Amino acid sequence: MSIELSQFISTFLEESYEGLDIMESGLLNFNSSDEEAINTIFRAAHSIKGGAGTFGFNEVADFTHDVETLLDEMRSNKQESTPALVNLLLESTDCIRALLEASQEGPEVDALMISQVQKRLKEVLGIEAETTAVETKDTSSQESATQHSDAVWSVHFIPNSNLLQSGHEPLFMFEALSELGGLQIEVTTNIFPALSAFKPEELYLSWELLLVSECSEEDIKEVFEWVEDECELNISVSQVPSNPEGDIDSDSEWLIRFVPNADIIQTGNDPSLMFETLFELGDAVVTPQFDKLPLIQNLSADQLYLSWEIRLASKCTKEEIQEIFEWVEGDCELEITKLPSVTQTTANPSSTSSVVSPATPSNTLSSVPEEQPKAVDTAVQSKGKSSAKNAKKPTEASSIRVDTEKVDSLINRVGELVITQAMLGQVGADLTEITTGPEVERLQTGLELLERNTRDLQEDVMRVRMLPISFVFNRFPRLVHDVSGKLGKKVELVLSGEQTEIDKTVMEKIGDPMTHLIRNSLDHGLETPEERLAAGKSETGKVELRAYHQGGHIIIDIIDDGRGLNTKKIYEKACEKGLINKDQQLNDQEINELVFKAGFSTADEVTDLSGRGVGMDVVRRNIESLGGQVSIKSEPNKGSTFSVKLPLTLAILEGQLVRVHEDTYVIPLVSIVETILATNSAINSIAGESKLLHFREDYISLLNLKNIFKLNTDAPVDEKESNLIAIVESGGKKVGLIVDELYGQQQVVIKSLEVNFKRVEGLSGATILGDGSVALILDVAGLMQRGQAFEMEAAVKEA
Amino acid sequence: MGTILVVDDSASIRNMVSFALKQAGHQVTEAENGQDGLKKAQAGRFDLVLTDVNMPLMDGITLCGELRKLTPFKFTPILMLTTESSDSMKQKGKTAGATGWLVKPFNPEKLLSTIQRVVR
Repeated sequence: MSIELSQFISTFLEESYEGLDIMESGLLNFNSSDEEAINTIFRAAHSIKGGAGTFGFNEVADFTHDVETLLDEMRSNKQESTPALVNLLLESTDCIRALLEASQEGPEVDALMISQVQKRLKEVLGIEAETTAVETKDTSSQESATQHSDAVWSVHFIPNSNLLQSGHEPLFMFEALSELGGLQIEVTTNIFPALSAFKPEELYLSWELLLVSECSEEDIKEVFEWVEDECELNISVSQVPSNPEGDIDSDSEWLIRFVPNADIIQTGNDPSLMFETLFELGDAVVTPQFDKLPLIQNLSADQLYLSWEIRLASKCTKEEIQEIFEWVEGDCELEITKLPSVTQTTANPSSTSSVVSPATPSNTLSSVPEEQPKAVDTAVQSKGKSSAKNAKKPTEASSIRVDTEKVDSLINRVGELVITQAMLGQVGADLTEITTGPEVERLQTGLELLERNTRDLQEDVMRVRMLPISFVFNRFPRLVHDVSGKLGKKVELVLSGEQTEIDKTVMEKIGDPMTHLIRNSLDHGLETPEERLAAGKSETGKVELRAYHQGGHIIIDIIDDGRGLNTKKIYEKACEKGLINKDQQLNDQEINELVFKAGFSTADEVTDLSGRGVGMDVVRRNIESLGGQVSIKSEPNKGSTFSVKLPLTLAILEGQLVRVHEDTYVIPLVSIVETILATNSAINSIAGESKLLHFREDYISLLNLKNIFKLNTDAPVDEKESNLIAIVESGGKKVGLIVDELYGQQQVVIKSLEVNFKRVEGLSGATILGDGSVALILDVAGLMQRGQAFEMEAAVKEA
Repeated sequence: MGTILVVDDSASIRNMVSFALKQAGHQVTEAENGQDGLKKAQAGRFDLVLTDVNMPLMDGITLCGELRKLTPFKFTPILMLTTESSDSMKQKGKTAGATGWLVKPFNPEKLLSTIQRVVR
């Protein structure tokens, strides 16, 4: 039976990656006195090694073997668990991961890194580094090569008595044979006639030849080609030379004395089954011995009172017999003796002598096929083995890999369906207003069902793109470990809500901003252990990553318990850099927000870590480009919290529908701060078209969408008594958008303008509404820029 | 054909073993660790127990010892699936009452030919 191992590989990979995560997190929180913790790490490594060996990931198995050995020495206190060792083990997990990924069409593995880490592991373990994985593999393949090539041929050559008379010389044939390989010749003299009947021309000898050679049967037959019809020739191949001293071809007789302890059956070993295994080696005669049998009243059902004497005729080695009794080695007396060899000729002399008469070739070859199936069998088996080893690609049974493009196209199609459904719903509603009847009711029911199914379908499809945020979070324990090590700070990282799901695209893009925020917290937020102790805090600082859902968004909080933002310093810096005016009054919150301004950096010196030239403004910009927001809360000496708010998906948007002139626009709900009805008195005109709104002790500029989009401006804004204004925010800047009417809020499916039309500044896309009309989605950051350009243009015109 | 309990915390190995055994016509019950294995052993009858050694919650050696205390398992063959071919581990297993062992990595063929030694 052959079993395709590849079907288990995806499970193996899954649990291996899981195991690596366990190892990594265990190592990061390493505490040498915690026995269970190191056992857990060891177990993970152990499982990876075992699976890797079983499923043919030999490199992984070899590499992990050293890791496992080191862990074993650490847990048994043979090695002291130094931070250096822990780091080496962490690097090893990286290597194992890289090896596994490389085997799954991942990036090419960095062989140098692997071999260096492996070398260091071996150094620590005191193993000579030269026995590398590759070499071991080589020798093993060489071994198997010899196994396959060098066979032991047993040739039974019984010439007709008149062979010499046709000019043949057996000795020459043997010479030819010896050119093929090592040859052992044994002569059989059991067909000698009585001396009186002896004829000098006749040949009364036959031979048993043993040839160790990689030749084929044809090669041997060729040697005897000319005497084919004048002899009986039996050629058979036996296994590998098991006993080089000789006596290989024929069965040896073994005497096995097996005296099990009385309680052997309680180990689950059954002698009769052992004997059955023994029978597979050859013919055996099993004789039970009853000498240990007690009186009947003393018999116990749990005990075994028998012992055995077994005579086995087999070509096997002593080791093969021992292996059968391997499990009971300590539970029995076992004597294995090889009896003086028995060749077929002596065992069965009469049959040999009767073959003196000329035999037909077909008859002579009859014994050959007997051995052949065995050879074929092993060949197939080894082939099956090697194909299993080569099968590194998993057949993914539980999950399938799909091109994201296909998923996106599916999402798009569902988006269209949602729009169509909304249109139909609208028609249905209109219809019920003008007519009634059972048909209309049925239509209405159907439409409701359609709506529900469409919504479910949309959610399901969206979920295809969703992955747990742990994919991003998982990289941070390592980051925190490495960074805090460099900074000389003690840090505990707490993760929560790792299972919160988020769109794959959003996730791919959030990693870098998050990394930056965490580095920032570690570098600027947390104090050194000394500073913390002086401030009455525990030596170890805490950074917490918390993800959760809130109203159609995912929120990721990065919380540290460090020194908090220094508002005074920030204020001074902002003045110095000209970001604010000296006379500007700002509250603490507003000052904190300044760190997101372009060109702001308070670090006294640019450190290796946070100060990589990427400022918080870039972080904010990246997050906003995902339709998200970042905010900050800080309390002196208690710590800071950076809150990142992200949409669950980029395909759908929570929007506020507004009317401007005759068109409907969508404002992303996330950017709206407030909508107000402002009287003209609150609006001040400054130079030309520009207008400022006095809003909560602040002046914010107003953008008139009619002007910006060059809509029909028949009704100038100032002719109205009051204006409806949506105050929106982007990049920490607020502007007011003048709109004519507020419609409802709804989810809209985003259609790309770039793909379907062209990129338009100030618009992030379009959507189709329930009535079939197109609404443009406003991009607040773009609008602000467009507004500025427009005002400048207007100012130039005016001038 | 027998009823076999397979105890291993690694799902891939467990799946492979149980798949091979089922193909050979055996009935298989799977358990994820020693504790789970013991619970399942108590709830059923088995002709053979195959158990990993290194497992969380309860390791294979402890499981073996616990099983031997149960009357129905007094004579049941218990084989250890172990990567440690070292004698100390075998000895520990033997002392706890294991019948024999199977050294990882093994392939399904080896598995099936080995269990032949204790189950027919």
